[in-house]
Amino acid sequence: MIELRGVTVRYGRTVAVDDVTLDLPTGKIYGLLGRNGSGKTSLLSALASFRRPAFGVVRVDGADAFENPAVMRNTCFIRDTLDCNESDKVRQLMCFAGWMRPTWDADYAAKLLDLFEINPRKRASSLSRGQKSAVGVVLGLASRAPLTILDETYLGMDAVARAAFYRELLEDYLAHPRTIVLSTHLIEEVADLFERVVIIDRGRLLLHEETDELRGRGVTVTGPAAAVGEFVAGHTVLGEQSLGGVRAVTLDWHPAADDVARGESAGLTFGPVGIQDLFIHLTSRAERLEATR
Amino acid sequence: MSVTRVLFRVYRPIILPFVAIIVVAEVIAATAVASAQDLGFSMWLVLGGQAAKYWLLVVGIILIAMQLRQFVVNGATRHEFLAGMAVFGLVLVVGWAVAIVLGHGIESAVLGALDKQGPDYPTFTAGGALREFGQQLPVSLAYFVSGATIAAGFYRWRAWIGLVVMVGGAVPAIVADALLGFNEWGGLTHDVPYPGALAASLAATALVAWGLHRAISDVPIRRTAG
Repeated sequence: MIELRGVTVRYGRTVAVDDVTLDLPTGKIYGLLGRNGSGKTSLLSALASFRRPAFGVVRVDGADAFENPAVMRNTCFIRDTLDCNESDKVRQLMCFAGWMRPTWDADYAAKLLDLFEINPRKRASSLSRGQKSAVGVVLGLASRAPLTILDETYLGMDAVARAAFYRELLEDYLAHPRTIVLSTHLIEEVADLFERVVIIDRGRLLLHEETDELRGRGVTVTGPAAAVGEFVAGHTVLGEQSLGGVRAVTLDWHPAADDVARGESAGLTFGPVGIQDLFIHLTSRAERLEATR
Repeated sequence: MSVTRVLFRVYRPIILPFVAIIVVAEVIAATAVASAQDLGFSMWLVLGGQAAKYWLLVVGIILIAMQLRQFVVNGATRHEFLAGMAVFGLVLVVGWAVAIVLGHGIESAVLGALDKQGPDYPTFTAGGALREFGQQLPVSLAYFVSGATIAAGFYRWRAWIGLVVMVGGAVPAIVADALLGFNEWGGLTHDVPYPGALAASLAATALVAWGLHRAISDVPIRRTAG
């Protein structure tokens, strides 16, 4: 179990993370969502012991994580910028990780470099933005660290590379279960990987739920515009789209069976809500919900 | 693998060329001077002694500015890094102090065999060797600690605080140089008795090393220095 108790991270007078208390059962894939400047990276920095919280504590299996050799050896935090010296060759980065990380899989790293078409003889300075991100992905996945944290690691990666990253992450996670925390803005693209979702906003925990439960919080109603308009009246609308006479509305409402039957008799169809729609609704300034859990 | 072992792996391609360059420079410079006149001073003490301390200063800076982040990112604690860095630094410092003595011995023997020692040349003796070792070791150690502390100031704090820390961090190097630095004849450059000079130098180095440990023990791991 990973526990954060009253974690507060400050930069001078700026409070980046404000009294966050969170329990993260191990062996799951977490999605950490938040708007720009919401405190995601600061929270992850505290989780990975890259930064000591101003207040509060991070515990892993009951032990304080900060400067704990056993915990830090088993934690891999890949930031959005590649943490290396620009003159380092990719091959050197892989060797270094292999020397330091007891769970490092050199063969898997070589396979991933090949997959992302990264020349290990290249220096970091000569890699493109997307290639640097891909190297970060290789370091993160091949470390096989029991706690792997990937903070917007996809930056600059093209769609093909991102798809390969998500596929590899899932396959390797299934083969080698561990705790993975993914911070991302590409919510819809990655949402299917998340087992649990954590949303923070302005440094505070807004929500921590199972992804399926979160999807069940809302519903998407699709059908003739007039019928949809009549059905959704009085409910909180998270988002909507119209095409011709067809309208699709996402609601922050879980309809009962008789509501669904009533809607279907009016020619409406019901579908799950998108995590991104919920995220936008929850973090929009005008309509803020109270944090759950 | 321990931090110290990894550091030696990383620095092997740097240490060996540095030693080779110093040795080649010594051979070329000593040969050039000796071909014109008898050598009245030790070229090795000038080249090896001076070059090594500045090199160790730079190594100390690089270790904090570049390697600290790399090690922590790969799962080492700050304390593990500092401990590994201390062992690595000590081995370098002791190794170079021994090299200074051996190099002077070889230089003295070769010049003696070629009859190229001038009247002022510091002929190698057992007592002289011990003194050179006893001077080079604390001076190199002080420069290493100063380099690391100067870098730590800029890594942890803003630039203007880093400047203040730089002044404090330079104290061991300044004290060691002033009290234990040796000239081209291998002698002390002042009249302070060796035990007192050694004690003062080690005290300044230990104090700043303690400050370095305090500064790094919970430092945020930044993407870049400064």
